[in-house]
Amino acid sequence: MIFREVEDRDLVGKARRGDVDAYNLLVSRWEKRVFNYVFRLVSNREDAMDVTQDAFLKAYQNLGKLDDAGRFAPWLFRIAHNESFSLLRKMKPEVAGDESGIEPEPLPPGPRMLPMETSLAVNAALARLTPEQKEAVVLKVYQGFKFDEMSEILGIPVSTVKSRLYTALELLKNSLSPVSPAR
Amino acid sequence: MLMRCDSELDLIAYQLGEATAAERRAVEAHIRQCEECAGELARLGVTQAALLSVREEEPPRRIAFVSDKVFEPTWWQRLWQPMPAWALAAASIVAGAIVFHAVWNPGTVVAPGHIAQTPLRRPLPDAAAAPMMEAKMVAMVQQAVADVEKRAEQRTRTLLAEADKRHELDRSEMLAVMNANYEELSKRYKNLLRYTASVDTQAAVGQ
Repeated sequence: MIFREVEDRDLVGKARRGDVDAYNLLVSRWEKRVFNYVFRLVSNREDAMDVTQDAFLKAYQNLGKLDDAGRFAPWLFRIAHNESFSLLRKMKPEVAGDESGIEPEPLPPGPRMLPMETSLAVNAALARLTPEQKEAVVLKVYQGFKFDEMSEILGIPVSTVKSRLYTALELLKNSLSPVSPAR
Repeated sequence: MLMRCDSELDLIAYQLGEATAAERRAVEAHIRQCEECAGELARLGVTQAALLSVREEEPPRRIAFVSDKVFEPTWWQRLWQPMPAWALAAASIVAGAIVFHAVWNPGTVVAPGHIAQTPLRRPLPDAAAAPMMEAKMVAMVQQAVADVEKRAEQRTRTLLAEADKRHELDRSEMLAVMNANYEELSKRYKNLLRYTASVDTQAAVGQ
């Protein structure tokens, strides 16, 4: 992660000086991670693709405003976060209209469960979280960001980050690894 | 706090790799003697393993690069952008050619007071030289642009190849770590199940 940060810093510096290839390399390095982050938030591949594209475009146009070139990743995810939630806010009435409001309790993954079934159980459990809780899980578990980086991306204090994440994990744990009723 | 035992230890921070070395040691010492917290930690591990079992998606198509149309700057951004290398090369050659032309054909530079006496443009010593020079200049510009483009293309290819290689290495390392974690968590989960079964048996015997 340290080497990657150094390399990102170097590439951002070059891109600021007009080196197009350096920014293209940053795009190829981060596109999959940003896409997956956005996809887990907006739950639609095409929307996720558009938001990811917009995030990279905005990042390029505002590269000069990035104070610390070594913090490119949290800054890029912050842009992707803003774009995603802007889209979610626009979609909200439509999404709310489609939802019945009641979601079935997912079956916890068991030892004999197929990967697809586990995946469905996980997706169902994640769908029961609020967008903010889900985002905290995505940033920590799937993207591996530290608490302080998450705080930077989400624009909230570390204590709020932890509170969201801990509540989400408690809910997920109860869905995906419930205590045996015999206990 | 997750535990029903009195411990103030942060098991989630431990599980997510956010605990300090001292906190890690404290948690490890505690779970050796507290089965409840050991069970809680195992459940967190199973939850994390289940979440990580969902694979990442491949983007349906690649994100456009800066050289693609979507990244084209607006007119006002173009004004502020530095001149690209090929344009600079071309401009330098054109500037050089103008200077060369002025030296070659000094009659085009008119001193004040000599307007009436000096024709604005004297014929070139050799009339065939002008088109030849122009063709030479165009060829030089084209060659310079082609060279710059070729170098840029090679550099992009090299950078992308390096990035792919690095990405593949990162991915292999991550997979190895995930597999090791998954095995460890499965082991812990099995231990937890065994522990639950033994508690159930003890309870049944007690009744």
